[in-house]
Amino acid sequence: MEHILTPKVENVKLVDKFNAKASPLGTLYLTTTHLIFVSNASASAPMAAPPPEPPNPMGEGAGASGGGGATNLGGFVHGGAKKELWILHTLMHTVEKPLLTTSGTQLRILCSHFQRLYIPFYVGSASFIIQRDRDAHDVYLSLMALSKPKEFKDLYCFTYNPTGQVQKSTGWFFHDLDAEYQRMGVPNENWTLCSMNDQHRLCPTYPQKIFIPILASQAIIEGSSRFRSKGRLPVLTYLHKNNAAIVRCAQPLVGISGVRSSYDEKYVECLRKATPRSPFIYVIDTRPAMNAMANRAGGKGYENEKYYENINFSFKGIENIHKMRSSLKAMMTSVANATTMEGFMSELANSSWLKHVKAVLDASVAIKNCILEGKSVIVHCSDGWDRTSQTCALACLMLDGYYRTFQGFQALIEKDWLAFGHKFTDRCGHLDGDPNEVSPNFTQFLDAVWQLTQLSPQLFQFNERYLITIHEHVYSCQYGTFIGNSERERELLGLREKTYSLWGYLTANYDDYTNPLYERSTQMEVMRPTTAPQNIKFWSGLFCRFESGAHTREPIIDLLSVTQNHTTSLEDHGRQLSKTIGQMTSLIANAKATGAMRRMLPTSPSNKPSVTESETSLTSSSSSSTISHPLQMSSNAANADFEHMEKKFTDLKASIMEQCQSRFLSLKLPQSIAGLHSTTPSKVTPPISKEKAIKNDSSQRATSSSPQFIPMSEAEFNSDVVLSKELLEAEIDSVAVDWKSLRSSLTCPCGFRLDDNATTKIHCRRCGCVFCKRCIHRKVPLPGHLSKKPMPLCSTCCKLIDYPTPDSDDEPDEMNALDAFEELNSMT
Amino acid sequence: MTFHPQYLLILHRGIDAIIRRPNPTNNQTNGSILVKCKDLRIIRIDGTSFDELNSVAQSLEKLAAIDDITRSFAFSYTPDFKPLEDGWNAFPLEVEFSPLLISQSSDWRVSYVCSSYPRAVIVPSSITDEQLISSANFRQAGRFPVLSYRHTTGQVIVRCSQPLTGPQMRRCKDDEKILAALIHRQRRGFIIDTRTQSVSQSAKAKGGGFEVEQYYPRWKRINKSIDRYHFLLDSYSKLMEACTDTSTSCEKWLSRLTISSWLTHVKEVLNCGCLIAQCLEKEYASVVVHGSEGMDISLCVTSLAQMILSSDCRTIRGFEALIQREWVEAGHPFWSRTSKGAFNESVASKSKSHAPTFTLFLDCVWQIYNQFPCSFEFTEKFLIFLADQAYCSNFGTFLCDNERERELLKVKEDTLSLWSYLNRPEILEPYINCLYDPNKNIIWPSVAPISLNLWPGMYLRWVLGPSPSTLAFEKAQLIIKRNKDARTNVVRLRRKLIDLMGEAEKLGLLEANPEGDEKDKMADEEVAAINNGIHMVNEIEATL
Repeated sequence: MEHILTPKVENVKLVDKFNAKASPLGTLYLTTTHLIFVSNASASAPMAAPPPEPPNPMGEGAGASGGGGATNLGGFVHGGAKKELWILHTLMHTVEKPLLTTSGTQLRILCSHFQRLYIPFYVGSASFIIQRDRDAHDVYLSLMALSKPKEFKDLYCFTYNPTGQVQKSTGWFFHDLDAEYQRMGVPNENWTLCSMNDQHRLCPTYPQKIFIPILASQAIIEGSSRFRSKGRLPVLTYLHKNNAAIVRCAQPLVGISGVRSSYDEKYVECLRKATPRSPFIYVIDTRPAMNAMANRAGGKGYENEKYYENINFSFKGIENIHKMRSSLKAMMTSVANATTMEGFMSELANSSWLKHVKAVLDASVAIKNCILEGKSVIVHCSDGWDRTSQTCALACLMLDGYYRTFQGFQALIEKDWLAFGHKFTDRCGHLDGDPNEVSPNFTQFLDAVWQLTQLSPQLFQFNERYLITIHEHVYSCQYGTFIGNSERERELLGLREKTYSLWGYLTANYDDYTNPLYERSTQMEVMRPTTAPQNIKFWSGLFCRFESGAHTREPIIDLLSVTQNHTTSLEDHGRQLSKTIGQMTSLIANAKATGAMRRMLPTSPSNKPSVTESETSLTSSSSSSTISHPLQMSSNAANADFEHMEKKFTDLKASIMEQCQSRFLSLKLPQSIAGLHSTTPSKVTPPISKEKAIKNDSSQRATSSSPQFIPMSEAEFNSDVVLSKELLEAEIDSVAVDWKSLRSSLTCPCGFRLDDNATTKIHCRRCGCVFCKRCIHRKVPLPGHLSKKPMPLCSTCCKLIDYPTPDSDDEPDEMNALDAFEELNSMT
Repeated sequence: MTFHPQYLLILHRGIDAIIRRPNPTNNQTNGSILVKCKDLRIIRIDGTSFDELNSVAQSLEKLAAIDDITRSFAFSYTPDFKPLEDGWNAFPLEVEFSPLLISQSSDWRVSYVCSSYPRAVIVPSSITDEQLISSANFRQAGRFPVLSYRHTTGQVIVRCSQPLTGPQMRRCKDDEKILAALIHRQRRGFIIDTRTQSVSQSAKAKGGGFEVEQYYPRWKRINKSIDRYHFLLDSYSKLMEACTDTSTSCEKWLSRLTISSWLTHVKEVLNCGCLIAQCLEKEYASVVVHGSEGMDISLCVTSLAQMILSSDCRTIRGFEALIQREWVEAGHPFWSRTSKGAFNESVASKSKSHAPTFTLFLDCVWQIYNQFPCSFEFTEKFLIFLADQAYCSNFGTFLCDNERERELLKVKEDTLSLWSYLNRPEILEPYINCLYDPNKNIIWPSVAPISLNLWPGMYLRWVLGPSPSTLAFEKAQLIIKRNKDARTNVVRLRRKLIDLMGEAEKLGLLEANPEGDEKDKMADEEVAAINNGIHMVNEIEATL
């Protein structure tokens, strides 16, 4: 709070680069977490009470533009649409304030997720300039302080507390390094778990559990660790099905004089032997040869093929972090300033970004090829946490289809980036630190992944938006996942307890990130990408993300996703309809049969639901093949044996029913709460007493299903009221057969613009109209769906369908995330 | 790419260049020749005897160089199918413009005055044939102003060739009258000259020129700079040179792509097309388009403007009609332009007559398609197919340079039209875009550099194999089909259920439940659970 010098500045303009006329005039608010711009036209409408309190009116919408969409209002528009822009301070990469000119003063903000803001301070008259300049300077100073916090505790993730979102713990326990190694079949007869790095004694930047060849003795390991930069000795990161392994480490401390370490040499030999029948092991130094040699002057270097037996050593030529940093900077300037095709392309070439991406991909392909040859690879760069992470992760992605699924990709990032100590906080500049440590390595990795997704879209379960969202949150500091420089640091910060995990958020919203073109059968496939320069493209979806007019206006992926969701809804509805039709048919058949029977047995009461009738309706709800059964039974009605049987049968049924119910309650309690809660309007109770109410309820029902004949049959009869006219109509009405096309839905009924590719658009499953994320009231199961999976509904439909507003959204949503995760698990 | 087809058929006309390689790196053969085709394919033929290969190459070169239209394969092609319609008469002008001629009969009429134009063109009805002839004498190659497109709001696109003002600034009253007649109800119009100011100035010295604004009141001239002729071919050659080399570095590839300036041409043409569309839609002004002869870039930009403005042009039939009307009949010299392709390096290819104008146009269409993939009834495959057909074809549509030549050579009588071949369901099927959702709106493409891409499906198809979008397209088809099936099924089931409900109601089974809402809305899970229980009961019962 102490950094905010001016909480509010009126009459500022936000310049739209492509359409200067559309640049809106509005008010700038400065909160502890966000910079907010609200245009004058609707300044009063969208937010009743803007700052001083850090507002969080949209729940997660505030910062999570990937999902919420609030910060997606990059492109401003004419008309009466809402204009609101939220920028998280931590996302601001650079804030500039050029010198004061006669036309006024302005602020330039470039964000880490590549949004650019130009905010000239509107000048009414010349004499006003000085005052405006002071305002601008205040905002500038505030932003400078806020965008680069000094300490971890000031990061947004420690205060971020969304409402109606997944629980804090969700996502933190999705991925376990142990389980990941087990999936690869480690430990096995060649590889073993090494306990020497407990409490990070051996290497503070490695995970506690490391896997090494079974042959390596403790002395060898310690010796090798001493001989490697930062103690980062070679350890297993991926074991392929053919027993070839990717091993990662840091450079050896060779120096000018060519120091040797017998331990390290022995260790490399152990590594080779860990892959049976492999005559040699590849050693890939991802740096250019020049850089590696230069490192020798600093006491480091690379393996000498003379001293290490049976190695095949090669350099791969990926440039260092400083080159990458300046390359991205150059590319972003070229993108911002290019107006001609030549200018754009030559600037793009000059920036070398694509060249670097290609180099990373080429090195990864080389690693992949070694593995496919059946030989193990040792990969390192300087410290083994930038280029090594990139290339190992990409090679894994090509080799193993699991990593191309939602969880696999998360597991991959957890393993090769987070566990092995990529310095996210330093590289992303989360804190006010050394600018020379900042480098877009992770951005580059995502870019390379994107290139692969472009080459084989059917191999990836996730879409482009998934990558973009991950990219944004690596920088946003909204989630604790990417805070800190190593596993050890993250443990010390207590991020698991204090912050939310990005994986939880992504999993709860995985619908947004599903690639409709994904073929599950490709999981076993190894990717063999052609990395010809013609295949390496400029990723405008990320780097020009906020230049909304420049992207395809009809994104096929979104359209196909929508179509798939629509199909799912329709198929589910179809199943429900078939079921109901089955019930109806047998009901009618039974009714006809009963009618016939009534004529046959004049003693049966004709008006009231009789024993026979209820019995009939009872069986009718089962398959129609048993229709003949009640007839047979009632024809024997006089039989005492039958009565006895009947009695026994009912007893059995009651006990089973009870069993069912109790199991149902004990096993699926939270879900049944959600279900019962939302479907029994007469029993709206506060959440605390919900459970109790249900227990009462069930006990009542249990008594009602006691072996007394009449109440039992009544209960049974009630169970069959699914077939009341009202409910049947509700069943039909609750699912939209046709969905509005995305093209014709440019705005949400609330006025929010939907014409931007990045904005999430959701179809209400009941009315088929398109809404923004904020207008989707909640997810509820629909009567027309057999699966009763909760589906998104707009608020109008929610009312129409007569589900009460819940007292708290947490529970169903929480279930949602976990369910989603389980579902994903079961899929992969 | 290596592939092993069982046989390969290439028309001689489709061969662009042949390169001999007497000293191959491969020792098993004594030499090889590279056959470079106009559809951008490069085929290597290895042989044991280089002399033999050389003679093959010589024969091929001679055969490929035959420039006699009457000896083209289209004249001897016998179709193995029965056309459903005659493509030659599929898009008659009078029918294409019939709403216009009926509703606006006072303003427009069909004129049968001809020179390099087709038999019939549409002109303002206030203009007599004599005036047209007078105007034709004033315009290069006799290409007087004719209607190309009339927008729904009444504004028109008219195309012609440059006026022959010459250095003396000659004028032609009849020509001025024609232009005046075009905008007699409107405030103003724009004359878009696709050449730069300096080029049109220098054209005056050669007898050409541009409209002098004082003689054409209410017309405003705009110059656009679009390269043409050999500049385009040169650019195309450089582009393909860059595309076929997959082993270079990223920088080299990008710089070669930049030097080729193919994408710059695409951007300029697209930009000009947008400008014309904007004049009509945003400025409510009519547009006259010409370059020098008005048979290359002029056609390119007028057809692009129509693609943007009219949803009809984005259907398969509409696009065929557009090509027939605006390219074939409007006198784009297909035969001359396509006699040399991207790989031809002979000096003759630098002459004015060879240019990949049509390919450039298709590229621009692809750029729009890429931004609006659901607004086109056809896919990029269709565009690629047309591009290849323009260079060499079994059909007569793209033979000759203009309608008059076609008549002289009896092309219509002796060859089959491409449209006769295409317009059959089984042939069109692979070209239909399953994502097509008719879009009546005007689609404004972005011409920002980041929005324009190299067309991989066209230029990289033989280099990098089928583009991923092709694979994606197959999957998309499945998704769309499944959706349609699910929808049909639901509609059918609903109807059935409603019928059943009616029946049940008659039987008195579906009266409003007297027990009230409370029990009606029992939890669905519970129902399921109970049903489940019943199922178990039934099972037990069966065992009893």
